[in-house]
Amino acid sequence: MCLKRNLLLIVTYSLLAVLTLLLCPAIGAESLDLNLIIQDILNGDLSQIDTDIFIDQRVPRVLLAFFAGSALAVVGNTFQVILRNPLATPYTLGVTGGSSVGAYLAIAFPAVASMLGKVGSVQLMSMAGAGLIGVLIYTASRQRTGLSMHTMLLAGVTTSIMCGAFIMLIRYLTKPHLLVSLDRWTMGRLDTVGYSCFYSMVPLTAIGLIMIGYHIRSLNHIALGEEMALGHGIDVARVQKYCFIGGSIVTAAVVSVAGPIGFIGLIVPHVVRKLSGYDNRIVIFGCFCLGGAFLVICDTIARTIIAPTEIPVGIITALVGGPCFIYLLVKRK
Amino acid sequence: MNDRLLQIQGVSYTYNRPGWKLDQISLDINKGDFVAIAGANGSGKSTLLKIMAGILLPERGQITLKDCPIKNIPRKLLARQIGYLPQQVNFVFNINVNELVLMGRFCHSKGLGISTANDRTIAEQCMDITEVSVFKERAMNELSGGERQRVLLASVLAQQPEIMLLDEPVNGLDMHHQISFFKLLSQLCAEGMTIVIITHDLNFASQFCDKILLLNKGKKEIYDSVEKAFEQIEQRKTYLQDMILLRHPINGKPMLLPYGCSDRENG
Repeated sequence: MCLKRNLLLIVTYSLLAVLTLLLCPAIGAESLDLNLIIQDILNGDLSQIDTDIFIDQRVPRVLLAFFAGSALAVVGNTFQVILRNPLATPYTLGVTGGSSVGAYLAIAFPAVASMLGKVGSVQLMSMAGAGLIGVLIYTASRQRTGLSMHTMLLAGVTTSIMCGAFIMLIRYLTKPHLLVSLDRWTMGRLDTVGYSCFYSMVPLTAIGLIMIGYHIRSLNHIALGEEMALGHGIDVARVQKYCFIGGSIVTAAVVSVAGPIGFIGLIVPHVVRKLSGYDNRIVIFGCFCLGGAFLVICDTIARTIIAPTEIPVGIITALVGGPCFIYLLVKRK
Repeated sequence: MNDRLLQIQGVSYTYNRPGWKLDQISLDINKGDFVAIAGANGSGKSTLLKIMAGILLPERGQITLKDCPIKNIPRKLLARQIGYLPQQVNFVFNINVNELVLMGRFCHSKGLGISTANDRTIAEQCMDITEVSVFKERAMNELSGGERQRVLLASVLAQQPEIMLLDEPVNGLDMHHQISFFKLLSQLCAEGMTIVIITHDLNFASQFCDKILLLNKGKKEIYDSVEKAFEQIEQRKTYLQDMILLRHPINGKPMLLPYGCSDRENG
């Protein structure tokens, strides 16, 4: 491991993240007078419209996008490593399917959902669905020596398909005017006012990311296969368990707030690995910074390109990210 | 008097397939031994080696390392004493030689595990021993089979274990590389390392190893010094079907030579 090169990478990734976090709140459909806003904030006066838009809409939205993006990218990388499958994403393991079914139930049957009170909210129903599927997959993959990643992958893909069927059933049964809401949820969205979404997502995400981060070194060894990792002295069963649970918590937390925003969890880890090599200590940090920056940029495009209206950010991530990734693949040849 | 290092006591193991069982294997491995495990496909060689490495837990019996049951030793501490090289290592993500060898230092490191100067020196030494230093910046996926095996061995060596358990490390290597691999291992043994290796080639075992363990259908058939093991093999005529036992013209060690008794030649 070349320390100098890694330090340079860490600084570059951090700078990119900080730059997007600073610049993107200033960009938007409404042009804001930044000097005025800075002065207002310094004076503690938040009553001006520009300042209000900045503090209550732009900043929370950019923060939400950043943490959702970084969390999805980190989990994508973690799942690719523990499943030893470069095609894995945070959504591979079916948790998102459960999450979607929960959210769909809450949106499609508002009467039933309102009877459940707060529990019936889209966010909590989505969390509940994710939790249920997570427990199911975990139980199915347990074996004598820990978790079977093979079973986990197959069980995950199968439950995803089953959830897909369930979603179609809900769509079939629901009233037509609610279909639009269902579709909008599926496309992923980050429109938020105030910080409630951010606060409800970040603590859970942080817990999950800490669970993964604690095993960051072991992931390098796990990528060589379970036996080699055990030989190197890694407690493989423990790492797999914590990474699966942590990753599922993060995915559920993000999806329940922002919907299943696609593509980030797949390509950001690959891009980071191409830029910074193999070591997960750097890759996960890179995923955190670049995943966040990427979603913030995509969301900025989503909310400005056809202003005053917006495009769902899930569409932009695939349309911007896809060609970039293919370019990287072709360039390597 | 030899020091007993690894003791296998009545170890049994079954998979979820009926009719096969690793059955009550007991043996001692002493410090400095170079043991070859041989046997037909499906005789339980890899299973036994995995149990010895603590990768699989035996259903009955136990493995002790210097009289301490290995199941009581934390995985990281165990890796400082037992190095294990699995039969197959696939590289899903591209990792370079130097990084892989340094990863062997995991069991000696703490925290984030930023490699120390000492780690790097040891990794360099291990790469020198296995002669992989020249391509240490190359990616594992770009190497030939023999080069890969030598890098993997360097990674296990970097753990600085007392005993190495190697599962068919010379599979797929050409004759010259097999010889240099075995020479390297026997040199390590001479320096005090204990090695257990799975191999199908009893001639290599005869030339380089001290002891042979022959497994048959999950049972220990022979475990003895090379000379005595071959004597027993000779007595069991079934094993010598289509083979003849000879002596090496230079060092007189036993060796097996296959012969084809096709009708075309005889008749």
